[in-house]
Order: sequence, then structure tokens, then C-alpha cells
Amino acid sequence: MIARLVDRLMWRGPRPGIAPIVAGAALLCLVAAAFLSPWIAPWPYDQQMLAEADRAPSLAHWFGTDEFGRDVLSRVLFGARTSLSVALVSISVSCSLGMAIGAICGYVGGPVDRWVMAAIDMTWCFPEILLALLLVAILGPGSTSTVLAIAIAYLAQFTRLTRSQIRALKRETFVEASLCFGAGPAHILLRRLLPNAVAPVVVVAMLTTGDAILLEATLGFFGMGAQPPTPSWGGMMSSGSELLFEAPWVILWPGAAIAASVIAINLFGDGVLVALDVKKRRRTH
Amino acid sequence: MLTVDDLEIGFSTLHPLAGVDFSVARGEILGLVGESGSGKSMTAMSVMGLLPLIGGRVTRGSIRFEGEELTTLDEARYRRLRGGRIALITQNPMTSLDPMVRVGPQIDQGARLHLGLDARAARIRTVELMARMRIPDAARVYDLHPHQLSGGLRQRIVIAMALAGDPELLIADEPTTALDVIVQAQIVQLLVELVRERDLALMLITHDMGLVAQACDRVAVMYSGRIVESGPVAAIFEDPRHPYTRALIGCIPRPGMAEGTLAGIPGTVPSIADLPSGCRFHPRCPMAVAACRDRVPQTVAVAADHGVACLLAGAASGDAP
Amino acid sequence: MAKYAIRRLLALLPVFLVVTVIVFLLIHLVPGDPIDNLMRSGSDPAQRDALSRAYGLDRSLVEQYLAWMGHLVRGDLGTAIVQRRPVAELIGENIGYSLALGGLALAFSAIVGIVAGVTAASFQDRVADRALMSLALVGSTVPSFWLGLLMILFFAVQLGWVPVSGARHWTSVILPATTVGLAGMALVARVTRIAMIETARQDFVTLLHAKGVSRFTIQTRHLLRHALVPVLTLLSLRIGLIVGGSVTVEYVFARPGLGSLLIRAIGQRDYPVIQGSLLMLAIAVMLGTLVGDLLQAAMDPRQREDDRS
Repeated sequence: MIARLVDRLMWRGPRPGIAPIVAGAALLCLVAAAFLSPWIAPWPYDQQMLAEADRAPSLAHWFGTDEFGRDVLSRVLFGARTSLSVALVSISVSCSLGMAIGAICGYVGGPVDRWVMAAIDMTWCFPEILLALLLVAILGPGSTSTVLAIAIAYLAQFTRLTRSQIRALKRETFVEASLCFGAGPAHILLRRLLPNAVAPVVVVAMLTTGDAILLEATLGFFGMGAQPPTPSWGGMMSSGSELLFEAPWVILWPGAAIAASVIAINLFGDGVLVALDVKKRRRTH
Repeated sequence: MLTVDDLEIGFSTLHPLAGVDFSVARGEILGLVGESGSGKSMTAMSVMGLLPLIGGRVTRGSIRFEGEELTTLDEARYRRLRGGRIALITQNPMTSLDPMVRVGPQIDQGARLHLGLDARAARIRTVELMARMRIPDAARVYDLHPHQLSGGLRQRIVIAMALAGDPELLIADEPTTALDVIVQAQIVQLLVELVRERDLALMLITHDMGLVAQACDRVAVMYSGRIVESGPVAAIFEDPRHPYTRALIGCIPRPGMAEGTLAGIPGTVPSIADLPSGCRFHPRCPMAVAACRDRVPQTVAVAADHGVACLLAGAASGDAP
Repeated sequence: MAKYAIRRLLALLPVFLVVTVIVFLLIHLVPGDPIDNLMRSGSDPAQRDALSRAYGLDRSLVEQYLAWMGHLVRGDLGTAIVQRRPVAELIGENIGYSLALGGLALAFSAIVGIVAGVTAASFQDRVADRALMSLALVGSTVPSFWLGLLMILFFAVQLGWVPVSGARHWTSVILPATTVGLAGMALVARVTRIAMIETARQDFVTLLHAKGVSRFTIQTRHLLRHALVPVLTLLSLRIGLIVGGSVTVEYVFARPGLGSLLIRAIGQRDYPVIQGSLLMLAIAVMLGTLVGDLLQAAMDPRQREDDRS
């Protein structure tokens, strides 16, 4: 949402210092861990060892085991795959769709713009989580509907942002110059306007990925995300919450993984934001 | 009444003011003149004891008010002085009033803090004060918000606010810059009247030599954090000794002047991070000699109560640059 | 002020209509026959016919919508499939819990957030500021359900201060409200801090100092008042954060409320209940935004267009 964006731009805490660099490194590690999980995970994520169910963290199982005796560390590593890929795919879908719609609306203007934007803005009647729940209610649970639900929940934000960028750029002289050289609208939009509008949208997309991870985990926690046996952070906590008192480590680690990745994304994103000074661009709208 | 002696202030390692001397007596209007960046507002902030607010401090010299040393005064006592015996009028009436508070109570605040009046007494006094500021329909204006008033009215409110604590010394920092010409003249006239009527001391900070000629008794010309020339207005205008003072006087538009003859001063005030050696004016000075680059000129008296800090002060009198 | 309030209220009407359209379309967007979705399959044909007539499913979508709206304005939200009771009744039983949770969470985020923001601003760029702002960052990024579970473990299980779950005792609302409020608190603290710092740079604040007003009074009476305007804007824009957070947290703490109702209904594919609870939650967001707007206008004289002048 724009409100979210405003929060971001209002953030400007104490000087960021090295935090964004550390956060960036942490993100790299996270992505590497998710990518390499089949090789680095000590156990297969679905190997049940009922004899060793609900064991506290030990040398054999660093993060402990869950109610089926599955290794929590391995499941957190594999869960990173699910959670990160769902978040990344949904944000990519949301961002590219939003950019396409926003660019066309911003460039064309007129009734097309008005009606399409009105339709997009309808999604703002609901907070993201309610919108996602609404879509899951329609589509049924599962990874695909989670991706769609997240993509649609953030669509309005990307559309609005791209549209305002394009509208601002449209007025600048280099567009007139291109028109004078006889460039067609497609050329102007794709080669002149979009490349200039991309940077802020991408930064916001990156920051939104953190929110998407949270949203994915929440849906997973409600049992509406990736279905078992596929491990996802939210799903692990959903089943783990039933054993909260006997085996708290089952929810502890995936939750910590979510928190760490969202904080890392935010710190890194804020650093990029400061570096690019998106705020300055925003003023020109 | 106010004596500033060899004042130097510091912001981390920079010293925007170095060696500022001047004084204001009761019933007197002192014009503190210079271009923007010359340190006039810093001087005002120093006297008000508000330097810490913008991250600075007094590093040398003294500021004495009625014999009391202000540079070492503790904050609680300074606060009683501020808005009480010394009051400030700021430059921009558009931003000097709290936009969320009705204007009347903003004036009340001073009287309640410094004269110990209760809400009702303060209100009565405020309305009187507003009427004295020639604010029409003062009782009604009392309850308005700043955004509902014109710039001229707001500046009158700011002045009323300054007078609320019954001050003896008034520091007006460019009080008319943000206003249009006719309103400017009215505000200056009002200030002059107030000084005469209440026997105040007024330190009028401006970049406008014309305003100085019109309103002030004495003048101190400031350049790059130093007072370069000071003296009675008549003496300064008749016999300006510092090339900078002459240049400033040359900037006043006069009737009958041919278009294009208005003399500007080439160049700009040096940044405090990169000060020239010797006389700080020498890179822009039309009369600079080699010595100006090396020697810091000391203030010398060229006449009674007329001091100049220029190496050529004795030699170059009379003729215009 | 009254004129302003009415104008804002009228502006909400189209939004409300859009929400009802979306909620209404829900059962038509779900794959399969709406009747199958409105009742368990295999019910007898007579019931199907009755339901079909009641919902007017044989008529056009527009007519159906109008009929549905007609029921809605009379407070009839249909009948729950699983519990076989009017949805309005279910909502009535649950709404109080949600209001208590949401209200307390809002109060928590506003009060604690403002105090934290003011503190951070007065120690700008020093240790206290950095610590508070780092906490705020953590507070707004930690998943609320995780935090909720950890708090249950610590405060309810380890210390035994409050009940683990449910809503039988009044103390049971403390943990959920804190959990929901934390994310809002973090945002409020950030905005308060930046607003205080930016206001402090303005001329009128210099003049307040010059009037001899004490630092403390300036901070608490003048700067804070200015900071409250953006805080209210934020809270009214982000009221969804509280509402959405309540949904999650109710589920975590097994508390009755609209959120639990909604989540359970989604699991049971109980569409009338889904529609009803979604609608109520959306209305809560709209009303929250409206109240925020009005409070803001009441605070800031520049925003009331019909102020006397």
C-alpha cells in the first residue's frame, strides 16, 4: 500500500552505518542455504524417526525434532526454499503485472486509466491479510493460491507507484524529444519511460518481499499455504503450535528464520533506499 | 545595556563568529548589517543563549547584559531572561507562529511565564498589546489561527509576542524581509515608536542599508563573522571607511538613479569552512593591497565612537570606490 | 466540523458498496455451483430449491445482489452452514471480543509508540535512540503469531501470570493485545520520532525557546501536538494492521472473535460466515479510517475547511 510506502520513506532512523552490508551478507547466506538445502541439510526433510520424536536440540539434531521425529534444522532449510520461492515468485508476478498495468495506465491516461485504476484500488478496501484470506477462500489452500493471493494483495501498490512514475516522466523534455524524432508510443514507453521508472519500483519490490514472507508464513500458519509434506516456515509453526508446551523448539526455529530474513530484507532495503535516495524522486511526482 | 566583547563561537571545529564587538544602550537602535552568511543571525542566537539548539557554543569573549555575564549563565536563569528582559523577533512571520495554536494564547504565554499573570489577566493584556500593534479588531483576532492572518498581521503578532514579557532589549532578526514594501515601512515605524515610547534597546538585524539609514541610531557592519565598521549612522553614511561599508551603501537604490548603476558587490561571503587569510574581505575588495592577504586588520578608532577594521582605514577616507 | 464529518462519511459510501460487491461475488467466484457452496452437497432437492429461491439464484446477478443487499441492510447475513444459525448471531457473539482486543491493541500502539518516539527524539542519534529504533524495527518485522506463541510460553507457561488462551478471564486479553499492538507501536514510534525531530527544526520552535518556554514544555506541549497529526494519519491509514493482526492473533490465542470465526469458516468452507465476518472486518477498517480522519481534523486547524475565518 502507499501507506506502507510512506512509512518506509518516513523511516530514516539513525544513520544506517554498516547494518545494510551485514544484512545483505545475511540475505546472501539465506538464499544460498535455501538453494543448497538438499546438499547441506543433515537429514531428508521428510524422514520420520518416530522413536526420536519431540527431542530437544542435541548434537544429532541441532534444532531438535518434531512430532514425527523429523529433523527441524533440515526442515527449516528446506522450508526456506518454499517460503522464499513463494515470496519471490509472488512479488515478481505482482511487480511485473503492476508495472505493466501502471505503465499503460500512466501513459495512456483518460478513461482507461480511470477505470482500471478504480478496479485496482478496490483491493485497498481490505488489509493485505484479509485480501489474501478472501482469495484463499475462493481458490482453496495451497502454494499456487498463496502465490496468487500475495501477488494480488500487493498489486495495487506496484501499479500505483509505476503509474505515478510514468506520469511524472511523461512530462519531461526527453519524451518530447523522442516524439520529435518520430518514435512510436511503444518505443517511448519501453525504451524511454520504463527504464527510468524501474529503480524505485524495484526497491519497493525488495522491501515488499519481506512483507510477502510474513504473509506467506501467516497463511501457512493458518494451514492455508503449502500443504504437507512440503515444509514451509509457516506450516511448520502451524503443526508445531499444537506441541507448544512439549516441544517449543519446533516453532522457535522457523519463527526465528522468518524474523531474521524479514529484518535482513528491511535493513538491506533501507540501505538501498538511502543509497538511491528514492525520496528525492518521490518529490518530483 | 548590552555589551558584546570579542565574541567567538564554535560549531565543532568551525568558528562562524570571531572577534565580534558591539554594544547597545537603552533607548538606542543599533543596526547590525551584512549580507546573508555574515553571521548576523548567529550573533542574535548567541545573545539569546540559543546556540546549543543549533549545535554551537561560545568559545571566547563575553556577552554582558546590564552588567551580568550571559556566556556563563545557567540555563534556568537564562530562561527567565529570554522572553522576559530580552526578546527576539524572527524573520519569517509565516513560520514563526505555531500553526496549531490560536494566536492570542501564543502571546499570552510570555506574560504568563515572565509576569506571572493568570489566564484572564494575560488575555486582557494581550488584547491591549495587539491593539497597540494596530491589529484591527484585536479581540476577534485573538481567537484566530495563524493561517487565517496575512503576513503583516502575523508579524505584528510576532512583535506582540516579543513584547509580552515586557522586555528591555529587543532583537529583531530581519523583521521585514518576508513582507511587501508598504507593510515593511509600517512595521519599521511601529518598532521605532515602541523603542521611543518604552525606552527599549533595539538590535535591528538587516541586510538593508536603506532601512538602517531610516531607522537606526548606530550601526555595526558585519562581514564574515566580524564587525568591520561601527559608529553613529550619520558618521558611517557621511564618511564610510571600510570598502565593504561603502559597497553596502552603494547598494541602496535612490530616486533619480539611472537604471543599471546600482552597485552590486561581486563575489559572495566566504564559507566558514574555507576562510581567506588576512582580511576576510580582501578577495572581493576593490582596494586590496598585498598586505591585506597577510595581516588581520585590528579595529582602530577613526573618530569618536567610530571604529574600522581595515588596514587602509586611515588613508582612504572620503573618496568613493 | 460537523459538515466535514458528514462529507467524510458520504465519501465512504462508494467504498462500502465496493466491499459489499466483492463480498457478494465471493460465492460466485468459488469454483462450483453456488448452492453446493452454500450447503453441504447431498442435501435433499427440496432444501436446494428453497435455498435457491431464498438467494434468488435463478435470477440475474444484479437482482441477486440487490436482494442480498436488501437482506444485509435489515441485518440478515444468511445462515451458517455448519452451525445452522443466523450469521448475524454468530457475529454478535464474537464482535465484542474483537472490539476489546482491537481497541486495547490500538491504545497500546498509540501510547507506547508515542512515548517511545518522544524518548527516541529527545536522545536523537544517541544510544537510547538507536536502541529504541532497533527495537521498533524488530517489532514491525517479527511475525505476530510467532511472537504470540513465545509470549504464551514465557508469560503464561513459565511465569503463569496470565491464562494461556481463551477469553474467560479479563487478563486473557493482555497478551493478545500486546502482540497485535507491537507492530503498530513500532510504526507509531518511528513516525513520532521523525515528526518531533522535523518540527523541532521549525522557526516557531526557536521562538518558543526565545520566549523562555522550558525544553520540557516545548517537547510535551508543542512538539508532541504536532507529532500527533502524522501519528493519527498513520494509524488511520494502517488501521488494517490492527484489524489484520487481530485476525491472526485471535487464532493463535484461541480467542473467540471475528478473526477466529473467519479462519474457521474458511477451513470449513462455510461461505455465509466468511462473507459476514469479512464484511464486518472491512467495515471496521473503514470506520477506523474515518475516526482517524476526524480526530486529525479536530487536532489540526488547517484541515478544517469550515473553520471560522
